[in-house]
Amino acid sequence: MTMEAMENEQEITVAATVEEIPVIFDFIESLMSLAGFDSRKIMEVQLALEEACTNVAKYAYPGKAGTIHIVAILHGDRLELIIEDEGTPFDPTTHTVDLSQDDTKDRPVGGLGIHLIRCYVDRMSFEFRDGKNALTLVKNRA
Amino acid sequence: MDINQTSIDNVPIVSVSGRIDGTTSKDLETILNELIDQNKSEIVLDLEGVVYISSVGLRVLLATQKKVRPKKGDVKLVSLQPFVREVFEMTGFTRLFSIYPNQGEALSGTKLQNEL
Repeated sequence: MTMEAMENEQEITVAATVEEIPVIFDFIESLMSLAGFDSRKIMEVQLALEEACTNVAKYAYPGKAGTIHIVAILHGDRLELIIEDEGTPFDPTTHTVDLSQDDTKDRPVGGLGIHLIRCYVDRMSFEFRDGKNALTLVKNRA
Repeated sequence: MDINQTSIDNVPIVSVSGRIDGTTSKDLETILNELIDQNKSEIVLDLEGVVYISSVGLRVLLATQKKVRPKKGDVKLVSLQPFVREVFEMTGFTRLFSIYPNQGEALSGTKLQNEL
């Protein structure tokens, strides 16, 4: 794990495994606390980040090890997160899930993560650039 | 995450506290699967101490509900905290589970209605 601090911008690189989720939680909590985000907003961003990073851990690097690089940039009251991996190209913004089934047996077990990201960030966008998936999430403090 | 298990009138009560996330949900899944292996079809899951749940945790609960429903069973959820409750609402999970304000009402079957 490497961590670099710059004015209004911090970044972290972790192995693309779910075991690194607590490291990502700590990284974003300390950054958002210092920036004055309340504990509820911090949990919302942690949830969005967990969902995004879990997808990378599960699908981006089939059969091999890889990394997740997260850049957090504070623009005043706005937090921008860029989550990058060098795995299989995957655009989560194009995926939707059908939540209309009230019958348990008809409910698909997967697909909820991307829906939750959408619920808890103010903006989500995706770009595949330089051989990397780059998912950008924006959360406003107010 | 901490998990405690008790039983009242042969109904297992699983009390969870902390975060149900990608690193902790496996422990909860193991305990719920053990109860299903013991042919328990009614399970009370007390979430009063749970402040956070991600989709991995939701999947564990849904998978358990899918296993007990064909046996006329039910996973009864108790004391959802505000953030967890909102995650349930946003994913439509409030329609898939019976939700109760406390363990006593879960055991007697008095649902928390319309407040969700």
